[in-house]
Amino acid sequence: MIGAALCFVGHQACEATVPLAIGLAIDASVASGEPTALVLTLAGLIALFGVLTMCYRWFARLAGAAEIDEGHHLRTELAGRVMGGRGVRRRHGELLSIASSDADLAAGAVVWVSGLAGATAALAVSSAILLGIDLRLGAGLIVTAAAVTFALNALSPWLSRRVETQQETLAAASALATDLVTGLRVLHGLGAQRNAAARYREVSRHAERAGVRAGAAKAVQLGATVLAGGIVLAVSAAAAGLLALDGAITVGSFVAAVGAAQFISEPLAGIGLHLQIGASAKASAGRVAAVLAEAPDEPGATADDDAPLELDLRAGELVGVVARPAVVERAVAALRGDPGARGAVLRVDGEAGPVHVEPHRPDLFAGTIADNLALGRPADDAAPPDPGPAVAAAGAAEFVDAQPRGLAEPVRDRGLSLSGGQRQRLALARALHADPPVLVLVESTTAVDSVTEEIVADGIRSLRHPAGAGRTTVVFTTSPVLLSRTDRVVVVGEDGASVTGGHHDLLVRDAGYRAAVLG
Amino acid sequence: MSGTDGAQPAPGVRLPLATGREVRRVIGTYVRDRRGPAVATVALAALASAAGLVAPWAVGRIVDTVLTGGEPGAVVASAVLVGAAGLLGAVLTAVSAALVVRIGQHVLARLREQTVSSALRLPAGELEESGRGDLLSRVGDDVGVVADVVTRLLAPLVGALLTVALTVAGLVALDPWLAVAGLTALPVYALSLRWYLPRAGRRYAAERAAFADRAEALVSTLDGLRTVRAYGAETAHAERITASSARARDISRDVLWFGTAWGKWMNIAELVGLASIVAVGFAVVAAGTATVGEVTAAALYFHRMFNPIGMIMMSFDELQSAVASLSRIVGVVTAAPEPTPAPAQRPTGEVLARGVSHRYASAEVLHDVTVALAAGERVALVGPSGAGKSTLAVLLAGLAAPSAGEVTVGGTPVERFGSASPKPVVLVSQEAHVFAGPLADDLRLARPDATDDEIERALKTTGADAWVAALPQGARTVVGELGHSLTPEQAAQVALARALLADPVVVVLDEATAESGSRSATRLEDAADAVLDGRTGLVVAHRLRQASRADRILVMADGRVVEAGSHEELLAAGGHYAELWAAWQV
Repeated sequence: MIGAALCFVGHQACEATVPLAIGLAIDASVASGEPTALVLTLAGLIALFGVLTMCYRWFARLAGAAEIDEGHHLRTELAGRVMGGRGVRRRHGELLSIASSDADLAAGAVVWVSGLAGATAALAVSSAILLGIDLRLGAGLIVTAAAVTFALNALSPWLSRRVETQQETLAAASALATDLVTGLRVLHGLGAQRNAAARYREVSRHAERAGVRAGAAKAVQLGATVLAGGIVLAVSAAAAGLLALDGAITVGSFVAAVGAAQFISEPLAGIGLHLQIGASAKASAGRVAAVLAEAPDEPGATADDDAPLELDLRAGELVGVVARPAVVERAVAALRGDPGARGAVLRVDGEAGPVHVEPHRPDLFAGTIADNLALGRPADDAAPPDPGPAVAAAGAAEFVDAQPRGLAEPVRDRGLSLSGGQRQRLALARALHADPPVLVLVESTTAVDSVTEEIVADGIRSLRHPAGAGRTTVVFTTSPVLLSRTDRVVVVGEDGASVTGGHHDLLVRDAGYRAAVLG
Repeated sequence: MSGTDGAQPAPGVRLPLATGREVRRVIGTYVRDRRGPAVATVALAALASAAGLVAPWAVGRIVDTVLTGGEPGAVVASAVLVGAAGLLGAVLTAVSAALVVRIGQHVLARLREQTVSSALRLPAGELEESGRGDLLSRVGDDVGVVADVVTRLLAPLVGALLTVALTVAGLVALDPWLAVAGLTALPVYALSLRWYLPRAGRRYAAERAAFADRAEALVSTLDGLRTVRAYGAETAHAERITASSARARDISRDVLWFGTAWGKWMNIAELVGLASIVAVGFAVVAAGTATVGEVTAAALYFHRMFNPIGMIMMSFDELQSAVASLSRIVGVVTAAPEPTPAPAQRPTGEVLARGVSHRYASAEVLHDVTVALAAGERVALVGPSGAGKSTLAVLLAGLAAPSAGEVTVGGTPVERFGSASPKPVVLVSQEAHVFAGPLADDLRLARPDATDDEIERALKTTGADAWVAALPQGARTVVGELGHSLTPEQAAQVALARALLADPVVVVLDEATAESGSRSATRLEDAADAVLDGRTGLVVAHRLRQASRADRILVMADGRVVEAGSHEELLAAGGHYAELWAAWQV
């Protein structure tokens, strides 16, 4: 970091010296007519530019690399925090922006100090040049440049507000466009393309107006910058010109003074800019730190006072559970181990133990079908088990075989390129392939047809519950096909009381069950 | 059964890229709308840059005044000239920059609107998955890239270009030899840029892709966090995120090293130009063809170009990507079919598909199917996955043109209603997308002029009134992505409510009630009944009970209709349907 700061100081000092060098070159060689002076001048220019470019290169590299590394470091920590804890209560979009742009901006904190140091150094060099030429002239020009720069800075809050509004309207337009295209088939089905386009036009025009307003603000700022430069130049040309006419300074000093007075606004603006970067880096760092320091979800946040659903199973049983969606949701949350959720208790042979709850929503990840089926298994497994039986049991064999590369076919876009039914069957195959001792399935055949559902029901039965095998399975479902393959069914009535029985018995004697399962 | 099982994506179908000429034609149309302001802008910006030339010239004049021992009044006059030129330049710069942005925003807004409306006209049935991601990135990212260049770069870039052009003109006016000396920098800039651009483009593209991968790794893990936890795969996924971040870091470092190594050429070009001016200045002053003041002015002119040239050089990369994005955006516009005028008459409800076949890529999924629906008749379509039910539904709704045969509604070919609004044939699919924003806005997509009462009634009819009333702000509650998320059942009810508001003659329901358990299926079937009431209906049925309530049932297998008749007739026939029914009843 010190290296970066030194390099930037060097670069800024060189930049500040360029106008002086131009003045010297004119004074020493062009005005004097000495050929040796010309050669010396050119050599001096080459040396100056050489130092300038090397300083800049290494400043940019040292600072940039430090920033990149710090951003990566913050992202790694964030990933660990998000995965490790019991949950982070934030929207995914927000987390993504914290892990991307905020982490980068916060990483900028490592360079803003060197930026500030460099700008200050350049300011010092320019001031020294001006004061060295003539004390009063220098002081007057420094004050003029500072006053003009600060007047310019007064415009920036106004400008940032307008730019911010513009960014918001642009983001809204972009989000709407993406959303409409995502729902393209729905719009086509309805014939609502024109209505949708009209809605987008409204948002787009809003963004246009905001863009014009922000552009006008930027134009004013641009004009003000030109004006500021003009004022500084006019003042310096008059003051230094009169001094030169008096013979108090040389022609070269006049050129250098005019150049330095113009240049001095750059480090002045740079100090403002780097202070701003520092402030936004601090704000971003705050947001990153808030996620890292966030306490895990507190128990009791989802207070749950109703009596839990008690599931007492024998090892090796396949049990169906039929209940209202709200009851199922509470029970699944508890079985999954959500903090504070107490909607169900599951015991196998009287003992509670680890339970694998396959989420109802089939989440697939980038990778091949085989990668997805192997989720949670060590990557360096020498002899991974064959997922074939699980795939067949989930009724997915037909479409997996139909893929050009079978199990090696990549899953694109988190599985969104597959149909709902295909995703559901792959997720089920993954759960069966994981082969947990106790498996809980939640409405896992809602997107498959009744013939496939038969295959799945038979598959679960034969894969997990062949005679004498000790796997235990609970299916939350109202599908008569799945329920007909269970050993018994637990029915939770409207009053919360549960009844147990065989599927066929319950169909005959329980009207509520009949209504729930057959409609 | 899943609706898209039968509709395998045609692999590698991508939207076209527009040619440079097409891009110019589309943009030219919008710029012509603003021809007057455009001409005024360029004139004003040129004047602004010209005003900028006054200062170095005046400074040069002061140098000559000093060297020739002139009057203090001459120095002051020159300084006043500098101030006046600064003021004029400031005003002209501000006005022209504001105008540039105004025109840029005008063109940008029309361009993105045309892109989105074209995107929405693309045939959804044919636009399969690979094309959809492509389309999403075009209306999202590419429009964003162009918008960024227009809002951030356009005005400064126009200013910089004119400044450079006029400064070169000023150099020529001072002394042609000094101008030639300054222009020696040009080949250095040009050659280094030519070397840099293709190499930088590759690296920046790789960096963007790495950033996208990093975001994807993070989002997919966050979205699937429950699954990741259920499988105890937290460490593996954290490592995956870290690895993608590390890859992005390595590429970013490479880009940084490359860019900073190239940066020296900017300084070398500046040095070459400046040193040439000093050397040539030395010669011309010695020869007596130019004054020291003129050489001073030339050196200051040249120094003045450092920043605008730097800005132009640094923008080249962004300009290149903006041009690439433009050709992708305009590609959407050129790919979309022109809207054809729809028949004004609302058709009657007879639907006829005659000898319809359909193929995706190389496989024919529907073979010579002929189906007729009487006005007001309700027909159910059943059969195993991949039988072609969804394909037939899509063709009957006119969302894709059959490879062979014809579909008519009320005697008119169904595709002629493609751009009708409201559309007489509506398809509600299993894809229960909920549009982000207030729920009422989502419903108004079906009918923009629907009153609050009509919306309330539609929600009541589809059985959604209770949960909507329980939302924090009722139908004005923001739903969809980032809003209140709806359950699959609620989303299906919203889809049905939309169809109700659209008030079509023919309704095609493809799995509209599939994503739910039996209990909610009953409620959804009642909602579907309400939508089908009084209209011709085709229902792709998942729950056989729903099929049993239809006037007629068509059983499909392998792309053909293999059985047809009422529930009782088909049970009595003992064919496929009877088999499915038995399986379902157990």
